Amino acid sequence: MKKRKWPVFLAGIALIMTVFPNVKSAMAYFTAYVTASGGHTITYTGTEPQLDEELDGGNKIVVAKNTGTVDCYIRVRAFAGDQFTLEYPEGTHAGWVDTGDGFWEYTGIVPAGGETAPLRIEITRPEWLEGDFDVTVVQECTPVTYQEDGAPKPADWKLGEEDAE
Amino acid sequence: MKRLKKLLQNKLVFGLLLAASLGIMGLSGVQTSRAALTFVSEYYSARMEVSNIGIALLENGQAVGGEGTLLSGMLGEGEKLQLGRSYHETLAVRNDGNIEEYVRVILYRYWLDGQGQKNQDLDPGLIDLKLSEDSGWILDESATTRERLVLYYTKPLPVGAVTGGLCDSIRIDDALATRRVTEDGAAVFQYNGYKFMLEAEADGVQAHNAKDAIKSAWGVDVSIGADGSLSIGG
Repeated sequence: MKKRKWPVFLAGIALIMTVFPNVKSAMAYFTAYVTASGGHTITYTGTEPQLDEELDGGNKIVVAKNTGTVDCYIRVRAFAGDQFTLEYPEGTHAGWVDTGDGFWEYTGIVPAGGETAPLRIEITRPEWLEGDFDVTVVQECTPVTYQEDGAPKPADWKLGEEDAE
Repeated sequence: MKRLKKLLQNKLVFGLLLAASLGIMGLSGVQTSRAALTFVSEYYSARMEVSNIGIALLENGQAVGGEGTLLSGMLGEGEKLQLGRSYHETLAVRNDGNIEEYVRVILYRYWLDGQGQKNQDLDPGLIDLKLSEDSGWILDESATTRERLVLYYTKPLPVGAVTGGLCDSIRIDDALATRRVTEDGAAVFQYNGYKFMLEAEADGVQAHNAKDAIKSAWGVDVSIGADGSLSIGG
């Protein structure tokens, strides 16, 4: 008969051990909290400027427009056959600088929706050449990024470029 | 009349009537004494002060709370975000209760894609939050990830007091200006339309019996020094 009391006794001990450890964690403490959240959207659209070309006799006057939503730097380069001579006479390229690698870079930041000053390209063709000919002007832009103090960094023409998919 | 007289002469009937009359008299006396007890009670007043814990999250000195409140003043009207630039961003905590407390802040930073879905690929570290030095906050390295930063204020915060700023600035890395060339040869910004998010949760717990309270409320083992300074770890 005595043996039969052991299971009851052990069950009681188990119940006590189950309940008591939880008593401490269930004790109430004063706590408080507050949450807040927010953010901003990156709006970077439009990567290539729109190039307006105007013919002035046998020469070209180009103006690049930033049609994107982000401020950018712009540079252009003219291509023609070896028989042609391309010149950029003094006084006709204010705001542009020859970077020595074939490109002419606009020295200012072109804001979204803004445009560069005109760049005049004087084209000389050999006298023996008749008929139509092509001088192609290409343009590039790179977004303006900033230093921590908010000052713009110089143009980085390799910025963020990834391989074609 | 003869019948009544005969009835009263019966001992049993007489006894019952006597008992009934005594019972009625006794009960009426009890009711009277009940009324007298409630009437003579006196009035006493007591005053109890209930402890109250409160906490406020301050962004650049202003209390914020709820969705869309954080970073709302980061850009001016019509101002565009400039990649790489540091924007002033100070977060602090104020004790708005009437008891001393210990506080911590958990920050979450992450990206939402153009569809508003959380993006798991873009590094949250591109949301560069510059933490303050020597401002009384310590970073819990064991609980911190690229997305989550857990910071504890190392001193008990008195009633009405404000902690030092836990961060100084926020900056979006200019690596985000990644361009991708599409099949048709056009270059597009890969992360156009992405949104960077910052969430802050400020928690407070009573300073009394702080070690057990913090373990219970936050599940963290801390040590409390004799001067009240908090350090992480048991």
